[in-house]
Amino acid sequence: MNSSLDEKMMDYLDGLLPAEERAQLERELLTSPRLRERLEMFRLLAQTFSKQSVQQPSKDFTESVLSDLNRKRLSAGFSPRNGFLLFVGVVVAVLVVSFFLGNGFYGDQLNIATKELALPQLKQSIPAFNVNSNLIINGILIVASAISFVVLDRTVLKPLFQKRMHQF
Amino acid sequence: MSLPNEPQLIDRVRTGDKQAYRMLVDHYKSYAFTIALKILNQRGEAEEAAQDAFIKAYQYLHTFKGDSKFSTWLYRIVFNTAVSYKRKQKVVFTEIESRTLSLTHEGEHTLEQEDKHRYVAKALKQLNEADQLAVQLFYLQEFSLEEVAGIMQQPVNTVKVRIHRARQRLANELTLLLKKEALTL
Repeated sequence: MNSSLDEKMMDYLDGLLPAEERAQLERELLTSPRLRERLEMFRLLAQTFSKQSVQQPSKDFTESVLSDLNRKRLSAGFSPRNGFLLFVGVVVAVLVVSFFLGNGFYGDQLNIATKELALPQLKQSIPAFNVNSNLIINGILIVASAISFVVLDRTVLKPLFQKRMHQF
Repeated sequence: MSLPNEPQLIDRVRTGDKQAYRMLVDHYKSYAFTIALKILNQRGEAEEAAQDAFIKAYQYLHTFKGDSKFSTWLYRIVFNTAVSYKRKQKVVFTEIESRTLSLTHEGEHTLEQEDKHRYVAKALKQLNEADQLAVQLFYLQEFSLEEVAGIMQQPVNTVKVRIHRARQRLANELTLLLKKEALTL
């Protein structure tokens, strides 16, 4: 069925059709059984939906709301804005640490500290072991980066896509 | 419909007057619950979502500037809360025929009438959720097109198209269903 004709019939039933168009449609209805059948479908829909009842909640609805007003303080949680700020913060932290690491800042500091603190007596009592500080820091960076992407996904991307999906 | 002294009531709630809020809750609870029920199709969850929405509205009342009607602002919170509950729903136990389209049958318990309701409910099920909600809110008659758009946070034209498309599809589905039924008789 023609979409504009459908629209006319809906407006006709909603009482929105101007008098002239209304009269014209009524003339067409007299001569077209197909048009009448279509109008009946729209009328049936309107009649059925108009009998929708407004539902009543339970009797203690209001009391439950009032008793929970203070108890159930809702936390702000992760809003997309907070999530994005957190993501930016983590990324900046990762970049700063990467910059210092790239310039050998942490490695030098650790060497100096080891040289200064390593007394001969202490060296004898502690068994020798090698710790690669760069490896640990790299590991921390990878974990921090992974966390930042999870935060971005949970607080910004997922809600955004869910909202878009809901809007179809 | 708004309460006659609504702005004053809202001001009183802002100063911490819970009895004023009781009046607002009592006035709007039915429609708030109905909207939540249409989204969730489950009374228990719908009631919980509507209550949560009223609590949120109370806590965020300071953000209500009066640009829109209080009811539209409130129902938008109900809509968002119910949608977030819907996302958490893992299994829908109830059938849309028995819940989404709740009808009163005062004085018309005829088989024909029951059949019509059944067919419309069946046709409604063919639509996507947003179209179902838009068309049902539109037909509730409490809401204008602008209010439905406000509640669903979509442009008026989008909602208009959505409702128009939904009614067309419902009419098509009904025609098919009734023809099919006629063939089986």
